[in-house]
Amino acid sequence: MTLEPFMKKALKICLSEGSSEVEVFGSRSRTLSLYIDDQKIKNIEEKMDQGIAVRVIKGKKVGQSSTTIASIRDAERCGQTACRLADASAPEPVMKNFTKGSRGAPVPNAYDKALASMTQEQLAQMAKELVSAASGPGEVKVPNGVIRVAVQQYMVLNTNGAETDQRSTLLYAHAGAMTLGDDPGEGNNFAFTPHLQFFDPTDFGQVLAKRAVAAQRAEHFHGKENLTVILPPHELAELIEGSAGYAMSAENVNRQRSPWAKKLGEKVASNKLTMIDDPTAEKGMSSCAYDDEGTPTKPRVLVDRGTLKGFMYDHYNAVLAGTSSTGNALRRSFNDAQNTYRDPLMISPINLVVEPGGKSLEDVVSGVDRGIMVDKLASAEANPVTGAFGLEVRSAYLIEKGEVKGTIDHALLAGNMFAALSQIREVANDSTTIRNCILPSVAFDGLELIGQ
Amino acid sequence: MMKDLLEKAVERMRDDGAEFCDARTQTIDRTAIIIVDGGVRTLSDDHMAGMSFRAKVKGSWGYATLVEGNQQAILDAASKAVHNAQAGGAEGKTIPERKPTTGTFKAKVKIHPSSVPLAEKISAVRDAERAQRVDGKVVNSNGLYREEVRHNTLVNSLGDNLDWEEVRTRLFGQAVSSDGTNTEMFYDILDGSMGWEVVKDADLVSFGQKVGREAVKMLQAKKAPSGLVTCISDPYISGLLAHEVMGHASEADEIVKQRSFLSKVVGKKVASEQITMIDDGTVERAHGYIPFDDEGTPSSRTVIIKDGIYQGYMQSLETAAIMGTKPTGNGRAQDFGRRVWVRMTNTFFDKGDQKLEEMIEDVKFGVLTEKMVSGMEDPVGGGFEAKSLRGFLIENGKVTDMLRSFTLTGSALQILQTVDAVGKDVGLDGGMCGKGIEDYVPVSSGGPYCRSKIVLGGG
Repeated sequence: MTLEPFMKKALKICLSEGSSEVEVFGSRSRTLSLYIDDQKIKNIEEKMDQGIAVRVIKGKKVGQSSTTIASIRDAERCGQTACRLADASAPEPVMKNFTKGSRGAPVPNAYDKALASMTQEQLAQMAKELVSAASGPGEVKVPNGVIRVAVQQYMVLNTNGAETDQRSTLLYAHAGAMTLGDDPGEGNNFAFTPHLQFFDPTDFGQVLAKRAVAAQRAEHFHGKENLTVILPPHELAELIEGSAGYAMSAENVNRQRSPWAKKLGEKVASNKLTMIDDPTAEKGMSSCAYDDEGTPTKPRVLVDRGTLKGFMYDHYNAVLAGTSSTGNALRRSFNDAQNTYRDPLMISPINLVVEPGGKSLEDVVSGVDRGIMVDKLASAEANPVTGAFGLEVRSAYLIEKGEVKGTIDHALLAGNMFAALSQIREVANDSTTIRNCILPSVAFDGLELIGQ
Repeated sequence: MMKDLLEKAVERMRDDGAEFCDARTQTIDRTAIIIVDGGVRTLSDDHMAGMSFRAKVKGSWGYATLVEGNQQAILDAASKAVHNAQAGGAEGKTIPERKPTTGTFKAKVKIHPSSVPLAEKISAVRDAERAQRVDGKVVNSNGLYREEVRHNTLVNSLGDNLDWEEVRTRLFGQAVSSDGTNTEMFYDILDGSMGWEVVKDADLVSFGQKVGREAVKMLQAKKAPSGLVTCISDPYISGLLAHEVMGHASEADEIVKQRSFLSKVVGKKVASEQITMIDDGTVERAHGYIPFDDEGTPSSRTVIIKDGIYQGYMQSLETAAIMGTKPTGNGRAQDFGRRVWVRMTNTFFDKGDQKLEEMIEDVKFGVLTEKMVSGMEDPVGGGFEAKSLRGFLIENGKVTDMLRSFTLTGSALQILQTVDAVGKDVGLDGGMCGKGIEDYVPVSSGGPYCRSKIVLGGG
């Protein structure tokens, strides 16, 4: 059975209880997850999930509720609960309706039939190839990892004409490798793709092993100096999204939490930085024709050669700011299809694309007099409000006069992400999908590295 | 009715070849209230219900999870769990028999959140939010309330047959301040495995005023010094050291595969003799309290380090079988749709005997931390990374300038060896703990004020 009857039932109940406007979001998914533990297949899991989220406007008040769906009674109860919450709430001056329905948005290539029909046995074979590629040369083992494939369906139905039904697939892999023997080094690798053809378990395993071996050879960094730092896509994505993404969210702009709130049209970054939100990207994890409110999405330049060109809006913040939603209201996640209906609507880039530069990563490295190329950080996060960061470097290549001279660890990388965006030395052309970003390695000048 | 089905599912999994299996149902009900700048931004209720079937065949596990289905669908899912385990094909140890636990257990709360009118809850959150606006420099005020009630039912092939309830309540206040040039943030939290009393017993106006006032003060904060300094970590940051580095590396699933820097240290000195560290799921009212883990094992108190000497690990059913010891009640899952593995509960350093003032008096130059932003585990390397929300400079035995957010880092074992003073009061900080970047379970971490040498930077 599809979700449609449940969604229609919830909508009908809400109208019968006096709601003037109703929005129902529905999601269904089948997820297959395989966990690797100490080189072996530890868990294989199959999860079937479906649920809805209801928002109502009733007497100028808003209420919302979500539920897993096992029966029509769940849909009724969910609608009634949303109405009950609206009754108890305070008048909401902003929300007068939900997104106006529209049709015809270009449908991105976000569904892969081969991925959607994967079996446990195929997943197990993939895991064996990954482990074999990593541990084959005999230097490392794979103590932990996950490969997850999912097929998901998202639907939106509202009383303002929105009626969307989209399907997509995802493959997410994350594994760690550690060198054998005392004082092991650890490396990690990630894969995010909506298409099976873009995931090569052998290549994934080889990269994993290389990173672990490099980490094992690292020497502790001593002293304190300012130098050039190259951040790879797998560490840069969260830093960019957590700072620039936060600053471009209209929720933070409207609430004056964004440091870029009053900088539209102004320089916020180096000329070398251009960022586009591209919901049509074939390799993007969240590509969609409509967001999770039913607003059509479209490619938008957010930062053009360092100049801030626009913010990302959902329906609420668009009304608050007197503009239109840009289709950036999402519930979905880039690595998990379960319980999407329970996740709150958040403003998010669909696929945040950092435009690649003209140089290869090797050429970028060769232009650095003294610096590091980070391989692994403890966690890649900056303070979203201030941009400040202090990041533990767990493995990085030391660069001297354009050449890699071994690896270092036990160092703290300090700086400010908003300032760093104006100190971009070079943007490489090695674009990779990480989370909901598609971005290359970027070299920043003048960051501080502190050793023990 | 549902219990009968779970029992049949267990029977089916046994018949299909599972050496061990369990069947669980779970409902999770949450109410959330978010008030931002005086307006109700979110008022939501979330209900989640589902079933999980888990089978072990040798060393591999199979799971099948459903949110709907009749008896046939449930039994098919049970068979699928066994099939999935068989597809794994790893070798493993048999989980030994034990005395079964049965019964029904209600959460021990004074005021069950379900008994409190929604209007009263909204009013309380509004009070906590409104009070933050103490100054024109508070540009954004937030009150976030969340209650969660979980009902768990578990039947397994060991004979455990359990129903239990967990209740958690949380109020979060966060103010953002700005002077036109700088922007800063401060927060405070009330929470625990408790009911509405968490909010009812608090002075919400004082709570909110403090959040607003401190956010404004932070606009004057200075950059923290960088390099190796004497640091007095507050209960939040002490807790991160206990939880993120020593705790995650003491989860026995990391030990059995030698993915922990603490794999071979039982009986060895790993810290200053002033350090005792504990994981204790029985601390009632703490955020990580659980009567049973998600395998039906009663929670327990595990002494991990005693007087600087390493004692032992946190265990699930499987890791205890592999290591030939008893499970400690640390087999936990985010929800019925996620895997069970070894997770912490309430993890903390135990109290010492010093007053904070005495610890400060002895410091010529150093830093006192206040509150955390985040931390990250490193079970392989034993590296510590924590972000402090703010801190204070200590000069010649006195607290002087306020410091804005900074990062603390270094080798956990080296830091713990340098601990020379431990405070006499333990504080616990509730939160959600992921392993890697997913599988979030409610925990708390904490400890007393601890004085050590740590590398600082950032800000």
